Amino acid sequence: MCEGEFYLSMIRFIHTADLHLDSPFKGMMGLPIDKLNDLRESTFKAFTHLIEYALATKPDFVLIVGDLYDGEDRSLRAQMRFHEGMEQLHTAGIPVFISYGNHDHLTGRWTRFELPPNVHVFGEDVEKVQLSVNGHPVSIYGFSYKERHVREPMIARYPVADDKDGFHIGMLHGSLAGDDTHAVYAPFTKSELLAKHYDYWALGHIHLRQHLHKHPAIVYPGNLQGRHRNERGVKGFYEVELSQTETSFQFIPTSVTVFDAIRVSCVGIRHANEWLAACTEALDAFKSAYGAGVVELVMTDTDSEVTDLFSQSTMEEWLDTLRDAVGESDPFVWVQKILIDEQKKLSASSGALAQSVLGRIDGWTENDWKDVLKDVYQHGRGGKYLELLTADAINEIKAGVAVLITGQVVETN
Amino acid sequence: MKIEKLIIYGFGKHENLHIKLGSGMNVLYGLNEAGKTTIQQFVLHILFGFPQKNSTLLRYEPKRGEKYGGQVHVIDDLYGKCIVERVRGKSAGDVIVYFEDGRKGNEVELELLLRQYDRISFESIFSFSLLQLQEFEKMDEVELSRTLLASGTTGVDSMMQLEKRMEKEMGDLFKKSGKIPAMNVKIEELRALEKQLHDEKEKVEEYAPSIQRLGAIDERLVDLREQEKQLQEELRRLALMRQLLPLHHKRKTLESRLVTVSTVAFPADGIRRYETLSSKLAEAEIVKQRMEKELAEIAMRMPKDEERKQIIELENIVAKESEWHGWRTAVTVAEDEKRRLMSRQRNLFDRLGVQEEANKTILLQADVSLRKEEEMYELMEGLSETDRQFEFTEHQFVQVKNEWQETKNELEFIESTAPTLEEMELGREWPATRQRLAEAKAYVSFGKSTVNRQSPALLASLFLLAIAIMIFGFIRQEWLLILVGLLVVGIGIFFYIKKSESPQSESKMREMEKWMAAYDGNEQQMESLVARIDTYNRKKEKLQEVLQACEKKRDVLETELDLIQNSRNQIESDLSKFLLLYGFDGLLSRTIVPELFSMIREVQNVAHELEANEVRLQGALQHIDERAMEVETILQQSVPHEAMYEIVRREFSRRREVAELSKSLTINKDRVEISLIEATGLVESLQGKLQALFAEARVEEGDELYGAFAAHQEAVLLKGQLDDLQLQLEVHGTIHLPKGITNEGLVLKEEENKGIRASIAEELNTLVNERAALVTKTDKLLTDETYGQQLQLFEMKKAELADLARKWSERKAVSEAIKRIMTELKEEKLPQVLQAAERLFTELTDGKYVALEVTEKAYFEVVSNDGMRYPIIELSQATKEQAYISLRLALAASLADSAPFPMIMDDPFVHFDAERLSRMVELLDGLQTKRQFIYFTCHPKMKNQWQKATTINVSELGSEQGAIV
Repeated sequence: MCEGEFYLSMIRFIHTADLHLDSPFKGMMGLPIDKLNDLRESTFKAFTHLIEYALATKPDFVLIVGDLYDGEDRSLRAQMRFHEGMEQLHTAGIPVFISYGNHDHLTGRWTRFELPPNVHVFGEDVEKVQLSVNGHPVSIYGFSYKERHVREPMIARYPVADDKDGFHIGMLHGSLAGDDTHAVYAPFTKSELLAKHYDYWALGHIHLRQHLHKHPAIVYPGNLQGRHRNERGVKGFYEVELSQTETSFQFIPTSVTVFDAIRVSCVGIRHANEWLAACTEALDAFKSAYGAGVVELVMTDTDSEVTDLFSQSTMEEWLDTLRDAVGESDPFVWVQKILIDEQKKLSASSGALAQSVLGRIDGWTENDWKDVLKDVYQHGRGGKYLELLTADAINEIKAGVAVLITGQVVETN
Repeated sequence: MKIEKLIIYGFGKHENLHIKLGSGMNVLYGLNEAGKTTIQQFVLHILFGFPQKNSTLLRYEPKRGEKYGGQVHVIDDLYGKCIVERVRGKSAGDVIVYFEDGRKGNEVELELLLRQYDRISFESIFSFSLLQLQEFEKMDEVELSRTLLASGTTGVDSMMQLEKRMEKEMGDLFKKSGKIPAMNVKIEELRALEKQLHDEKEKVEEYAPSIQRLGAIDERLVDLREQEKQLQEELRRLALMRQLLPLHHKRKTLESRLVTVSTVAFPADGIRRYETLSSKLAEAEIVKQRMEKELAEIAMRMPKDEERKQIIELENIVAKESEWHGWRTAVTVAEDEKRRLMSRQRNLFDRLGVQEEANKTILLQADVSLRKEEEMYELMEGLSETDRQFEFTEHQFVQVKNEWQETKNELEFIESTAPTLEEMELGREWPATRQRLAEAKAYVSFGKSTVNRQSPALLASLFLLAIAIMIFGFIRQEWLLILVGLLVVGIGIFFYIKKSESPQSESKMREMEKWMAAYDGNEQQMESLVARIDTYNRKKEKLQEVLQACEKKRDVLETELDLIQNSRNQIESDLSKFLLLYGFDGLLSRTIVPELFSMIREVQNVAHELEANEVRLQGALQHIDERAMEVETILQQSVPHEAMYEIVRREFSRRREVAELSKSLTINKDRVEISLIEATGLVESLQGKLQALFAEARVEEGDELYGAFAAHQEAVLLKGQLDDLQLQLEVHGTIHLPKGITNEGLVLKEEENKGIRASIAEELNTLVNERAALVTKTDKLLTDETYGQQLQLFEMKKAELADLARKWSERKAVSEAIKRIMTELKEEKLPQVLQAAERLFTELTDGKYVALEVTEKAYFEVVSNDGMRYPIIELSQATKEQAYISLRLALAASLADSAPFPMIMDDPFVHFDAERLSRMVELLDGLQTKRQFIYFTCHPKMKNQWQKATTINVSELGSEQGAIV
């Protein structure tokens, strides 16, 4: 009886979002095709981990808060795999609640698979679904994106929970108001969420795992698998245990390939093989910690001797050398880039030329930049394949210029 | 920034050397080899680092391996007092910057202190020697920009090299319309990939329709299979039907035949009875037939009744045989008579000359009465009378004629004795009275001719007479009298015509008148002549009178002759008219005419006789014909008249025999007829029995009886078969057979079903195949990783492109920045510097030159105070140097804020004369408050030029180690 009571007063569910199944990995360069394909498999593997975990632990239900796929470029295979996963959950009798997000909105022109009956998909309006978990009522609220952008703060449409007996869980794919770039994704504020008196807010859309509020919990579980250098670290989902008094989380890692930046100290390094050894050591450490990955190596503690060493050949060549040295180990770690700690590098630089050039470039506005770079960015054939020239991109270029200038100065000397 | 002190630990030949410098002008004097350049290099090395070991620059490491390096003490407006210490360490040496506040720094702090200037930048502006001055003449604006105007940056050379390199690298990365540069290659790869992606996507889009199609196919398959099953069932049923159909048919035929057959009850022992009866009947019928045959023969041989009747008629005819022969004789006689008469008639006609039948007819009908005969005789008489008159008159006429001829001859004789023509002429000239006499004679002859005019009166009386006769005749209705009147008229006319022919005598008269005219002669001879002429004339006149009387008589006779002739013609015409009535054309001889009437009469008589004879002949012939007709009617055959009675007699005897035969046959016939009646009775009784039998068997005739018997037997058989069949059918239960179904129908139906089944099977097959293909396709699509892979590849290529683009952008930014700096240099800083230099130059040359300009060809020119322009190359060495120094100083001045470094000069003023030098010194004196100058020279006089300068003798330094100057 006691145990029964315990169960009655507690529900256990999985909260995940942003599966982005079969979505291509961004920013990968020079990766051999087979490795690239392995990498691509990782979203599926991560999803498979999720399903396997669910089958093994049999949660009361599963919440998937949007962005199952990656827009219109979704592959059939991705949908089939998802469908298979849902079928497995159906067989296991685990209900699934899905609210589609901006990447898989309802008006998208793509083939839709019929999902098994255990799956509930929210419509374009906020709706409430009730289910009973061990005789305990659970209300789940949510909606799916009708179109790619939902500017309206959908939060206003969520009803306030007035019944204290059951559990109330809100599913919302969107972002906090205030960030202009995300204003088109059902913006909300924390206080608005809290005003609904729900027991749990299952959020999606932001790929970085984070807790916006502790009690009641407002949570972004992050995505299942990082897909580019800015989605670093181990990714996964939350297994949530919710009781009237307490919310406990268990983060379950699913990511197969971990994106990360590894810092490598170059203290005392004078020769190439010393540097290679230092890098390999760092990579091995990463491997044993996370398994497969895509990493950027950041060279720290680079004195002028190291700078001299690097200046012997181009960074591309160094990268190739390192990749050759690392080889195709299993788990496979791909070195995406070698960076040199920028601050150090800049301070080490000298020369009025560099200052003069950099000074001038610093003074350029965004429009100046657009004008300067128009040859490429306005190019009829190629321009469309490039990302927008954002402030971030410009900063990156500036940094590149600094490196370039210094390098050139070194060469000149 | 000013250098306060140099502490050399060890550098080149110097070691442990302290050199204190003033804040303004410092002159470091020393002979050659004293170490001036070493000190200069020390400053640069310490501040900017020892050169790399492979550098062209000397490192000035002490030969004896002592401490390398030293300190430079500076005071800076920004950083205050600082000590820069550089000693041996890494290749550039280890540097430490000591600040006033005790802070220590390294390269970074040093860089800041040096305003980011590197050695090259520094040297290009703040350090120069005579050597550089001498190159000035080759200098153009670009050079100047390169070597002098590198404001706040390193040498423009480096900058431009850098820009060039950037451009080249950009070119390797990207060209707007290139194919080879890395980015262009990448873009093409992306394009290709994009297309593939598009294709893949299209493939993927086939998924949904394929799935729909699969659904449709599945439905259709179920449908088709159901249909197939039904068809199979139907086929099985049809097969059974086909199997049973013959049995059903058989049953039906059996039943239907039984219906007709089984109702007939066949009489017992029917066939035997029938056969006995029919054989008996046959015998009886044979007897009957024989009788009938006999009867027929008798009937055939029996003569006809009519022949018997005719026997009597024949008998009559035979009796009248003599009559026949009489007729025959009469005919012969009549014919002979006819022939005789005909020949006579023909003779008569021949004699009369009548050939044509019409004339013959006229003749036969002509009136030959006595009155006519009399009329004819009268005409004949008249004719003879006229003939006699004519002869008489003609005789008289001939006599007169002869008389006239004799007179004439006498006249001619007289005339031959007549005076000549001239005599006549002369006679005429004689009184005109003679002429008038001649004329009177002429009138006389004219008067004679008027006497003849009495004949018209005669004619008139003749006419009157004729009219009178005709009127009389008209009144009396006597046509003959009219005719006579007409005749008289005709005669009158005749005479009248004759009369008009006469007047030939007048011409003779005129001839005579001419004669008389000729008798005119002369007067002397005239009287004799006249006398002769008178006698002649008298004689002649006498004769002429006789001649005239003769002619008169002759004329009267001629007229009479004509009259008689006319009358005769009249009579002849009457006669010929009369004869025409009897068919005679033209006049007949007068002797024949009286005979004519008797001949005509005879002809007419013969004709009458002929007619009578003909009547007799025809009568006889008619009798003969009638008799012959009678006989032919009886005998029924044509019979020649000659042998008729012979034939009749023969026929008569033959027919008598026939009558005998007929009698005996009739007896025979009666007998046979009785036998026939008996036979007929027997036959009828037998037939009756047979009919009873047939009726019993319900048949019409004997053969049917056999059929009926056979049917009876069959019915028994059928019944047995039907029972068997019923048993067979009962085995299969009850199957409903549609009405009117036939085996062919079933086969057809079966074929049809098979056809449908085949088409269903075909469709099934097609669908199954299509389904399989679709399943494969969709499965493949579901598991196909190509799309995802390509998408990933696409992303990667994009990233690669982005990376290249970033590299390009960096280079572009650098290149662009340099370009802009250069532009700014040229457009803004250069003019400022030039202006300042110009001022300095003017000052240095004491106003001799007022301007320093850059030509369009980018060469320097100076403008003298009189406005003349000189290229640098044309200036004197000293002036040239003045210009150069002006530029350097101006440049340094322009950088006073950003680069307040001391100027280091290596003896650049050696070529200056005293005046120039003093101006130069003056100028520098003016500047030294603002800037520190370190001037190295080997010329002793130079050290005394400056008033406020700190002078250091370098040659003395070496001996005073560690000394502070």
